[in-house]
Amino acid sequence: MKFSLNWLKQHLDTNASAEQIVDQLNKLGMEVEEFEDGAKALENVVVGKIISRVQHPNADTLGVCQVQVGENDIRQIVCGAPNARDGLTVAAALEGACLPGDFKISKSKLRGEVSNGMLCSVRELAIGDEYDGIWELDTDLPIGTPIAQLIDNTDAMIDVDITPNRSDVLSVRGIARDLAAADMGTLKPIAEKDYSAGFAQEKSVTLDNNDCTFFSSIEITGVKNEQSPAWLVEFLEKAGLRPINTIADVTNFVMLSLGQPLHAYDADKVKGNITVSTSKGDEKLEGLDGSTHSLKEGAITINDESGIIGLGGIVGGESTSVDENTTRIILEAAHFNKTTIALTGQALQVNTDARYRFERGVDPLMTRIALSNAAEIISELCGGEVSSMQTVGSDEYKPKVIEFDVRKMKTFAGVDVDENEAITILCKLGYNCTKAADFTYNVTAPSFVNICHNFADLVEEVLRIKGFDSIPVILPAPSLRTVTDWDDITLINRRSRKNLVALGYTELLNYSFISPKLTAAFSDTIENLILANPISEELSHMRQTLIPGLAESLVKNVKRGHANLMFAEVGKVFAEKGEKLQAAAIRMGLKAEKSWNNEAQVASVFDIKSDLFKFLESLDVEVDKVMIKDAGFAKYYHPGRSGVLMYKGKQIAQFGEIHPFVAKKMFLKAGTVAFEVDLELLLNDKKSNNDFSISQYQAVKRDFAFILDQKVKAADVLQTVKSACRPLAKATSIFDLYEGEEIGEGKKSLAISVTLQSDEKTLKDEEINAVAEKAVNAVIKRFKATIR
Amino acid sequence: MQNIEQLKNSALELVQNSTDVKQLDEVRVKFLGKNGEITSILKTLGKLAPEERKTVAQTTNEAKNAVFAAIEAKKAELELAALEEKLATEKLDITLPETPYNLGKRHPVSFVIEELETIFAKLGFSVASANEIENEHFNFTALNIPAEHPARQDHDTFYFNDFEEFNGEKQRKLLRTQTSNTQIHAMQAKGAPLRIIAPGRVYRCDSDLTHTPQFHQIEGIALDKDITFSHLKGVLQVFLSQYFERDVKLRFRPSYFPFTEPGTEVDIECVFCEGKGCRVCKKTGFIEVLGAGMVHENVLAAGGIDSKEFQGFAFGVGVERLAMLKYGINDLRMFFDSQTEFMKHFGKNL
Repeated sequence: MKFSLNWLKQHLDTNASAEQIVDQLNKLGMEVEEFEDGAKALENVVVGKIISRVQHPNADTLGVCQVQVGENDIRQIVCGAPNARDGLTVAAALEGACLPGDFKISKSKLRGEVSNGMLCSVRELAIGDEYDGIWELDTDLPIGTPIAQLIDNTDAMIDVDITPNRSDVLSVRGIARDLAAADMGTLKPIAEKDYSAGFAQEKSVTLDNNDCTFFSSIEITGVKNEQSPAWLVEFLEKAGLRPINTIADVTNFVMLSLGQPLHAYDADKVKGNITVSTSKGDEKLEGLDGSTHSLKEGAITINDESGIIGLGGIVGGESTSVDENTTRIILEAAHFNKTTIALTGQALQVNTDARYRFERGVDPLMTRIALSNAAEIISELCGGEVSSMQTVGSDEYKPKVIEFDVRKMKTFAGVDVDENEAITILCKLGYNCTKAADFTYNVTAPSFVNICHNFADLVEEVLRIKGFDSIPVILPAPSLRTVTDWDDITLINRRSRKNLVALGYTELLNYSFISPKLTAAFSDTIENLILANPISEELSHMRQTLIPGLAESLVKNVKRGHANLMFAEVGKVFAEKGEKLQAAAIRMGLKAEKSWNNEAQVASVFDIKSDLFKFLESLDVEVDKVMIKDAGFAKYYHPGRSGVLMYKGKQIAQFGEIHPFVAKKMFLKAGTVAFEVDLELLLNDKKSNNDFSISQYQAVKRDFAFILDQKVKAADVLQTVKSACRPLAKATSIFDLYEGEEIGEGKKSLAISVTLQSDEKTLKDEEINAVAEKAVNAVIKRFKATIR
Repeated sequence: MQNIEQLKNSALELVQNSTDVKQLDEVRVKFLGKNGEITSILKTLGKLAPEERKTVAQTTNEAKNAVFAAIEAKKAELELAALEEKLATEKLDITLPETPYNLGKRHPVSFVIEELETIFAKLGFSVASANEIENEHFNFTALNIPAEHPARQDHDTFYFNDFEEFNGEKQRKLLRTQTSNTQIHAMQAKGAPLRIIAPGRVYRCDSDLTHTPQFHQIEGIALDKDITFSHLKGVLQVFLSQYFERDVKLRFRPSYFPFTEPGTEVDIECVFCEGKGCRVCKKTGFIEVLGAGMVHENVLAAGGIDSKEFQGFAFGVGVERLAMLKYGINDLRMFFDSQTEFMKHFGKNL
């Protein structure tokens, strides 16, 4: 809500400065978003005369002017305006001036020439729109005169943000009233002009919709609807409204002044009498806002005998609008149900000042005052004869009684407020307080307060005026539940992020939504996961895995010249039924930059597998219980270079090379590898405190090499060796893999090392050999292997 | 006797003149070996008269020890010299670059979330979480924002064309616009007394210089029989001072959130100009950082809490904003742009 200080002063008798008012507005809960003190903006801007202008030696478009700004005060000012010329009387902003928009003027050098200020255009001083050149002033103005003296620009502009609960301050008068309650001045009285002696209106009004509880109207005949006078135009423009014609402007002015939306009909365009009724849907209205509205069932309509002429409380119709030919008007001030207005406004997506006020609540006791006030101004400005006021329905105000125990100020807000002080504040705000018992009052809200339902609202009202600063700052006593329980999801989330970073990955946060194209490349499209109103198509589908976002991040960085990248993310992924926390990592390019001592080694699927196992172990997964399957992974992984991990019967992870087809589609380098882990499946996997001992006895290593069929899986061979050597096998590894002519086609050689150790004794050669033989025989038997 | 002294001196001279370990060993054999000149004297001791024997033995042993010690010392000296000579040939250009390495970085937003979780843990707050796809009930209605409430429009909500049954009504699904949905879920799951914070991702259909369609918030709620607005001020004072690592000055302004009453917006004294007024704080000296208030009785009711017995405060704070203020990040959109350069500069170490 934007208004000027002078406008405010029409309602508030105050000596407070603009700064004091701004400060108080903030304290009252009206956040000041913008404040421009007109008088300040023109400080150090004076009338000057260009004594001479010469071409700037280093810039074609600039001139170096000698400007007289005082009796013996000539200053050099560089100016680029085309109309700067000898003898011109100008507005010169001197050192120390601060022009609107926080533009500070100081001594400077422009292309090597000293400039001691600025010659200003009308726009630069924010007193007009022209900017073609500098402002040309009357030549007989005394040099050195402050510009502020020439124009009445001492008015301050204030723009406040009004929260949805404060419909009482959606008007200049409302703001004045609140400031008065905070002792910032006195609210000036306002009177309803008595038009009861006026002529009787021609048209009758019928209420045929309970959502319109009150409808008051005045007819004015013989008006001349021309352009508004300058003062009105200025008020409206400062409030951010575009002037239209006098009658429309007055309705807006009164709405902004008093908070009651008004509407003016051209009475000659209204056919027959007026009825307020309910839309049955499938009806259309050409609105004053220039668009055609398709009405939904339940909307409040204003009708004449030809049909709908307005959408009650939201927007008027084009067919009965006032224009420069209008001579007779009907002025309406009515009351509409706020819920109906809100729902209709939402459905039609119409945002008007009227809807804004009605859906937040309008003061029922201001309706007649606003109507007569508008009639008075219109008849003053446009002439004409004013009818008597016609009203239908009731504007009675029935406030709710709230029980208020003033001790709640202490027990709820934590602040000591004296009983008298609390009640005095409420009374100043217009509340009616009747003592019911010790410390307890029956309180009713004034008609202009719309959201006051319980004691907490009253606590807030008292605090607003007393000031939130008065509330002491206290820490609550420690909770008896001293153990702070971070939930399992939080813990695994945090550990995952840290552990991935520890593995060398950089943590990213990608958007939760991706493009339909990317979705299709990676998963099936799920209808439930498509946003109805995405910000753009690129961000319209909820991600089902973190991999597409990470892959896209790679592509984006490759475009900017990066080659070897490791990215990870931990975040929610979405499925048709529900969402879950996933951790994922992707890497591309070399394991490390090529260097003088470092061969270029491309990160392979076994590197990502290694990262995956390190990651899982860092989350307390017992990795020796993890089983690997080479099938069952998502379709965006390479069919021959990917796998899934099974742990305690559940598929917890998948990893592999990104499918070359997918990679190609998104211009991702072939060979990019990734893994993803379903963290929620690891939640209840807390490591138990197993018995711990270190064997006192020597460990021995035995190596075997087998020739096997190529299709035999290494994991199976290892598993067989391990089982055969149980319980002595402490570790196994494959230290060589050979495929080639030497051993024949379709064959491979695996060299396996097993570490044997007993917890009870030193193993004797015979025992070691027996175990080794058992292992060899098991492998030979199970895989038809031969010893190499 | 003179003989022994001469013998010792000549041995020591030979030791000193030795230039390598081999020469030194020859000296050792010559004097201290099995048939060495000093050893030989010791062997003849038995032939001497007892009085003479004692003094000769003493002198000879002293000579032997002196020569032995001199040999050991010289040996160490020669070995060290030899090693130094060898090391001199092994010198590397240590200014050659180290083997390349990758250092992962934490995202500043997730880092700040962890900082905040740690601060609130000290104040006795547990961490809770809730879903990002919500329905209208938990995102709005339960938070005292009924369908016709103007605040619903201010939220720029992302909707799905999908509904779910809740409370016997069809509720449209949406992306949560605030972490406040966690309030209701936590109240329903844990009841009162309650002290939790809930960090998480939220979504608004808004994208420009200062808005991204997703961002992060931390919600906090404290309920007990005697939690007051005063306590809200205390907790926020501690939280913001700890986070900004200084005694920050706070300003509480009355404001409005449908789920609180009274509601407040909280400003901190501008961290860039210390309240003097600058471009960042638009010359006001203060920067808005969060919204808070006493939990509205309708919200308590929706969470199944008896408002006659329990009361308390709630607050919600934007994580990106806190990260930007503390770490000097000036473009919100960079958080979600996955740029390596940004992460190298603003990413956090473990």
